[in-house]
Amino acid sequence: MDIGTKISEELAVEKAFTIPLFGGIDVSETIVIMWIIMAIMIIGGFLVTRNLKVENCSKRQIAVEGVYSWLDKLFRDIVGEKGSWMVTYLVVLIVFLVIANLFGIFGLKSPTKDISLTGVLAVFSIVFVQAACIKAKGVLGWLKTFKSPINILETFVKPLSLCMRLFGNVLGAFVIMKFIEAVVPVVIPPVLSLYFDLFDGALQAYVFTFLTALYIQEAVE
Amino acid sequence: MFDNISLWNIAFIIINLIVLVVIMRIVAIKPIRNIIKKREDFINGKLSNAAASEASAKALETEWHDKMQGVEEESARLMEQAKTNADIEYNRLVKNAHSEADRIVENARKSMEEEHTKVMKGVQTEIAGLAIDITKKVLETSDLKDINDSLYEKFLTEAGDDDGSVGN
Repeated sequence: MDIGTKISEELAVEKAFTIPLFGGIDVSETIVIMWIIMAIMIIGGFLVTRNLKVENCSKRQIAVEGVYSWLDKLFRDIVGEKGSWMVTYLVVLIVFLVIANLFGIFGLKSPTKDISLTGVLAVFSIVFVQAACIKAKGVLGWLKTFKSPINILETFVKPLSLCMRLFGNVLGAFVIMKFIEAVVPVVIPPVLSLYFDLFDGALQAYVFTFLTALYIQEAVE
Repeated sequence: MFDNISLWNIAFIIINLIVLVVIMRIVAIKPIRNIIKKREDFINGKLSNAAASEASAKALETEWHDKMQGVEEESARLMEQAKTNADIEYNRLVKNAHSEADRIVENARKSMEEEHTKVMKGVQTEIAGLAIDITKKVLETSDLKDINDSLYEKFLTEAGDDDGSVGN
């Protein structure tokens, strides 16, 4: 088996199981891994927010509040007061993407490697950006933003670039890592994994949410 | 790569994401926001309390200052008055003592004089008696009785006449 075939095999999103309804619904790995990530986030989120106190707070609470405040401030500063209702989505999204992108480290397939997920996220971005625009400017104001063809094009190009950037980066990192692992199985892969999985994964999660926030800011101003 | 994009999977992903955001909002983000808000309110409350306490402390200090100044003036005034009173009292007492002493000395002098006069009188009488006795004895034993009869008479007359001024 040559390297190309091996990588292609690794890249394919296989179906995990089939729900025996409506003539069989195929559930892909991506969905299952998403469920795992969701379980981790929800249980983790539930556990770290127990016993929150106003005074004499624990180190855990200080850490949780610190991380949350940092993310909240990061997005709130970008989207502004008019887009502040988007902050929750952006905070959850960045946490989800960081965990999803780092899943490659544990030998699991990162769900962001599946273009279905990044595509859905891009559609979400389109919808949220336009919704924020309508909310800030009203329907008439929103329609006025489409006064030139380039604006109409932008509406679709921006989220598409978001989607493709994330997908391409995670896919590229995955392909290179698999390739290196096939060629030099020792010493080199862990070192490069630090860059491709850890750094690039977190960076892409940041870039994706940061750009979404920027588009929302542009839309509400 | 793109051959296994199915509508079901896309639907699942959308549902997953929505559910994730909603649950995370309820489970984690709301409690954190609440606690941060609560702490801000708590701190703001504390700060305004502290400002109020500071203001009241300042007012108390000013009041105390005024009072202390009043007390100082009052005490100075009292001291002054006490001094004046003491001076007056002192002068009065000294004056009284002087006059009392004068009075006592005067009395003593008077009674001394009286005593002296009385004693002198007694002594005069005694001396006069003694003189008479001595003269009598001398005359009785003397043989010059007859010669001196006239002298005796003269002496008796003089003594009897000058009774009050004999001792002087």
